[in-house]
Amino acid sequence: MGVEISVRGGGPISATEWDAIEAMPKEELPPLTSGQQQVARKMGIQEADYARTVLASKRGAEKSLEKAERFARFLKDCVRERMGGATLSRVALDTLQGKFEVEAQVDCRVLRFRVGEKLVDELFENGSELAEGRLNRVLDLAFRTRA
Amino acid sequence: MKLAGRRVEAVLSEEGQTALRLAGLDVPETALPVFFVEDTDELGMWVRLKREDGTHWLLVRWEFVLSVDFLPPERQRIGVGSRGGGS
Repeated sequence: MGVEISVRGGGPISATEWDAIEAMPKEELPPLTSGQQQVARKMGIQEADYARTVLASKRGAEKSLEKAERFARFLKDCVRERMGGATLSRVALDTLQGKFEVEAQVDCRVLRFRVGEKLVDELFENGSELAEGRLNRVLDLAFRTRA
Repeated sequence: MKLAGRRVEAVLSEEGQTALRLAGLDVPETALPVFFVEDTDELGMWVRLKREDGTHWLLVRWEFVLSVDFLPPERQRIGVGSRGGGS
């Protein structure tokens, strides 16, 4: 069974990525939808400038989706190791709340728990053993206290 | 709400707009200023500005910010091993 991965709220981009978007010639920017054109007009923002915002938003969402996918791949084995037959079914990253919402199928029931985005960043960006230990503790508690 | 790394439109108070003008920004009367937020802290938003001599960071203090608007895209979904699948 596959794992559903989703992102709510898009995501941030780095200053370097923003510099690249800002330097893009107008012709290379994605065309705005009619709705986006209306919003740009209403806000008094030039269409090219609004297109850069839209592109930054899209890139941020793609990055967040990659992060959620990477975390899902990591979690898949963690879940299986904790209980034979347990499978990861859903990983949803809410970037506005800074939380991953995770669901696993355990004994025909759904186990739900949340993991802080910062903890996952600590693990993947810094390779923190402390973060890995804390993540394992979150998983242990989720499995131990499941309904 | 985390704003760092996002592009936002901000509505600023009169004082905030004056501060931006004093900082040499072109703030039109009928348009919202658009910023790339580098970071936020208890003082306000640190935004990135391109100037003739390079990139500057400017603090827009919270007390001058009346509202902030940004555009998160629609929720996106994929399945592991099936990237490219739409929502």
